[in-house]
Amino acid sequence: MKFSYNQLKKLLKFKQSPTQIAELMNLHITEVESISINAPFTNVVVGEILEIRNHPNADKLHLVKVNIGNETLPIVCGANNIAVGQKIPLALVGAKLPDGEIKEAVIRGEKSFGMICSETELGLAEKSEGILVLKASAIPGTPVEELLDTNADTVIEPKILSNRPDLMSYIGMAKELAAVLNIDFHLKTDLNFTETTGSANKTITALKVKVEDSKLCPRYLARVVRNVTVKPSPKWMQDILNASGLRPVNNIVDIANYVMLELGNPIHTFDWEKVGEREVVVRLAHEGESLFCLDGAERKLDNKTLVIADNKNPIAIAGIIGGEESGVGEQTRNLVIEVASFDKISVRQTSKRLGISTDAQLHFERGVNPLSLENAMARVLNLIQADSPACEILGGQIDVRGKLSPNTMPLRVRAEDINNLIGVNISLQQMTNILNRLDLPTVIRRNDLLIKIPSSRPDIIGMNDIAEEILRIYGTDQVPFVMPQISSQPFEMPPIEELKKRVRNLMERLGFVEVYTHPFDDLPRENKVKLENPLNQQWTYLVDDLQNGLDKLNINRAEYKIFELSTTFQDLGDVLPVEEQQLAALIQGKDAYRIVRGLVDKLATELGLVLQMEEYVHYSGLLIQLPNQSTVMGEILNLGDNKAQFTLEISRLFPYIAKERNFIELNKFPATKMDMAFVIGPEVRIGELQKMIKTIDPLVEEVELFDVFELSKEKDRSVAFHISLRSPERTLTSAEREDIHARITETAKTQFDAKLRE
Amino acid sequence: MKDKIQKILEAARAELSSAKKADYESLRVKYLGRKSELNLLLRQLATLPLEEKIELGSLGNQAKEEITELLEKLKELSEEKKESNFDPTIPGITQPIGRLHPITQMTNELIDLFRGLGYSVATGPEVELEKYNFDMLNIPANHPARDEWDTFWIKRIEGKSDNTLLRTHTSPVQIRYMMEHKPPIRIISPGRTFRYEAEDATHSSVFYQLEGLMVDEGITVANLKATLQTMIHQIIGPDAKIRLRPSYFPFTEPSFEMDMWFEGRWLELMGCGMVNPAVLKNCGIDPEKYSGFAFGMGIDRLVMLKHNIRDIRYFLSGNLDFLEQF
Repeated sequence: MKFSYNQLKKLLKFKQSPTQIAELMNLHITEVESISINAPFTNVVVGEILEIRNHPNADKLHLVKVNIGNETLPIVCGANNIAVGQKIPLALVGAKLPDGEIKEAVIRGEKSFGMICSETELGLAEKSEGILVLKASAIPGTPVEELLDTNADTVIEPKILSNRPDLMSYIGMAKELAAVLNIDFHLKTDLNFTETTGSANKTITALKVKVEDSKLCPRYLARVVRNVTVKPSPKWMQDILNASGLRPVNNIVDIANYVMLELGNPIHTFDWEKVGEREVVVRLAHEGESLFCLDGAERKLDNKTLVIADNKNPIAIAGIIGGEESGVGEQTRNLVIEVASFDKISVRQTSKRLGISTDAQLHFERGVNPLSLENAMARVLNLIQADSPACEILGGQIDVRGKLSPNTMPLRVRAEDINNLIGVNISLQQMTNILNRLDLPTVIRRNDLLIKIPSSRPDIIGMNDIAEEILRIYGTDQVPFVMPQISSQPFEMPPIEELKKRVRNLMERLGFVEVYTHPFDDLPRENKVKLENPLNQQWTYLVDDLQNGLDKLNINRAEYKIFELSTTFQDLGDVLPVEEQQLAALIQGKDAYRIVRGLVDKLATELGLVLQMEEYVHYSGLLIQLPNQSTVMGEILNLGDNKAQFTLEISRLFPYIAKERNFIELNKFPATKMDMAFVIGPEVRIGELQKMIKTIDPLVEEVELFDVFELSKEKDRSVAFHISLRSPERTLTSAEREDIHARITETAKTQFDAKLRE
Repeated sequence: MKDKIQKILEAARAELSSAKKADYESLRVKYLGRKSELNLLLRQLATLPLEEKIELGSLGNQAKEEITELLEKLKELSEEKKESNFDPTIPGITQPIGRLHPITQMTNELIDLFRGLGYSVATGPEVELEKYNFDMLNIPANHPARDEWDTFWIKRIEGKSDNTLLRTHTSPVQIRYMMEHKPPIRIISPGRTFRYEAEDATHSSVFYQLEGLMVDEGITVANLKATLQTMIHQIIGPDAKIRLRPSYFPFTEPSFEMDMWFEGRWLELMGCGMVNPAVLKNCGIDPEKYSGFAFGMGIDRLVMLKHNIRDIRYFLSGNLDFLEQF
């Protein structure tokens, strides 16, 4: 809800400026979301002239230095009545004046960051001589409208907390501000009106009201007023409506809205002539009914929607919006005034279901106190009578009510508990004083506070709530900084988190850049988790694999290495899907596939894993598993175009990953190296050949492919390996070396038809 | 013979002091080589009487030592001559550097920070039960407070009774943790969270949060203030100031927004408060005996503040030009 500063000031007679009031609201009541000024100009502040020099390139211009509090700005100015030390209105860059917006400018070669204004330029006078000189006590940086009578108003928009419906009215906010400012505030709303047609039964003969469900409508007040003149409302009322964000319509609708702003009770008015058989029924809609609403849209109603109906059809959706047909228009002479209370959950559900949000609904879904209705009705009648003195208020008020809860609930709270929760020492007297200021009548009983909780504050139910009330008025800045006294406890982190950190660090050390992607895709695979309300059609499922997300990143580089380590989701039938951690990496560049393959080997070594890789039949790539297990642990894929990727299922590998590595004693004996090159056919798998060499003898320590190229004819390839032989016990003899060499040569020939190149 | 040794030494001193590094080998041969003057001279010592042998021998060795030292110095001289045709101005070959995502980095920083303050790390699933994400946190269905958390719901599969959703905050981790642990409780829960909202420069449907929870006997608002200030001092700097403003969250009472004084203005940074007794009770913790505080902040927001990033969408863009700056 938006509040007019002028109206709050009228209610409370405080001296504080709009910014000061907004800041107090912000610090003691609720967050201020915006402050906007309804003024002929914006962004004009008090400036102090520090220095005046002549413009080097223009006789009539001056270069002025102006202090605006937090900085000093250079300004080019043509006025003659300026002097050092003067306080003047300075329109900053971005300021909006009646004649346009101020921009940064270069005037004859000198920069100027604003304009020193005359009254005319500010729109405050038709004619003026030179610049406007402000009083000497004005503080640089202060908005000028706070010093001048500009007829301006400031609109303060606080965030309405969902537990504080009482703050959605001027009276409610004024009460709260009065408590903050520590000033007396008594409700002075004029509730007087005169029933012009004497008999108390008059209304009852003019209107019948029936409430079918008193749970959904605990109380319904109705009045009938005759012979009103529908016309525009008075200007003062229109100003407040406008400032508070409501559009003036006519005097009747405006009075209803004004009372809602003032007291927090939504009011609805019907054209009495349009209420069929002068009968109002509060009931659930029937299946198939619909209503043409005041916002111009027709809405289909269902049997969960509470409506106000006449003898036949719905004429309003209860607590949300009225019908077009029964609304008050220029032709209206006689009114039905409704002041009611509706069940907050029902209003909220209906508003969600129908997709309508109105000011009335925002009040009702937070709860409107059934006991507050009489005052609101009296205020409406008071204002209507003042506006249309000739109107006729029928005697008697229709009041249909269910069982209402009592007005106040006493709450007993130990003061000590409050101090213990906050960590301060506030005296009983001070607590009582604060609570009474907040209109929470409190007396001291021994060391306890006995508080009468008014029905307007259903949010207060226990000690913590009282502590909050006291603390926010007392001031959170008064609370000291005290580190908690804690006993020592060992640091714990879920082991999978430790592992994720380890893998991420490894990937970083291997030269990969970590990326994050959206965990959504549109691939309808088996067991995918589907969203009920996706943001768009590309994001209908939660991902079960991270590769697609990396593929779709549009990275415009010839070479890169990226990875993501994140959650994958699969619906395997339990209430919650299975969430696993997956590592996915993508490489673009020369030898991408071999680099990826090498990285997987490196990762496996670092993590103490023995991986088994099997060639895919239909893809160019390898499936990664653990020996003797069928679970998929990842894959390596060649994507072509110098692109390759791999995934590792980190959660699945987790139980097999070595936590700490044991030191392996360094080998004291030198390695014997030999190189061997073979010619192999296109069908031979280099990996198999390498594996054969590696496993031919326990003395083979390492086999590294160092050269591979295609020979010209028939796609034969030449492959060359560095082979390193070593024994932990002795230096190898040349006989041993030659023996292994011979066996490799022989096996390569028989198993792979590979010919040794000499 | 004495004179000869002395002469050789002086010649060596003179020549070696002005010699170039490249001449090292030839000079070594000249003065200390097998056929050097000095060595030839010393070889004659054998023929001399014992006393002379001793005297001249030690003299000769001293000379040798000094020359060796001078030669060593020469060897250590920097290269004066260039390798012919070498162009040292040739541009370098850059090696790629691996990097962690800035949010990972900030998360790690926060975990280390809170580890130092005695906190452990707790995590939970990203797809959550409605009751952990809302109901047990004192946010019942049909309460207007739910409007604060626009939610991605998971499509309901027939036969499943519970509503599931993408968690809108990491608070359900606190619920799960409190249900399984007794006070004293000190945890932080970092993680990915979701909000059903259209994306723009300041809104992302996927974002990252870190929440903290301390439950023990006698925990106060003063403790909360000190903890948050310590955290801000460590992340932003010792001059950073904080303040608490009243707010409302269903799961804390009193509730606050914490602002930080940053670059000349107050900036809203996180929500916090004293754990609502109803929430403690929901988790089987006696609110008469224990109290606690909780706070929650956007990790992405902290990164944006710290590095002056204006568009939250960079984080999930995979844009390497962006990621390589951290």
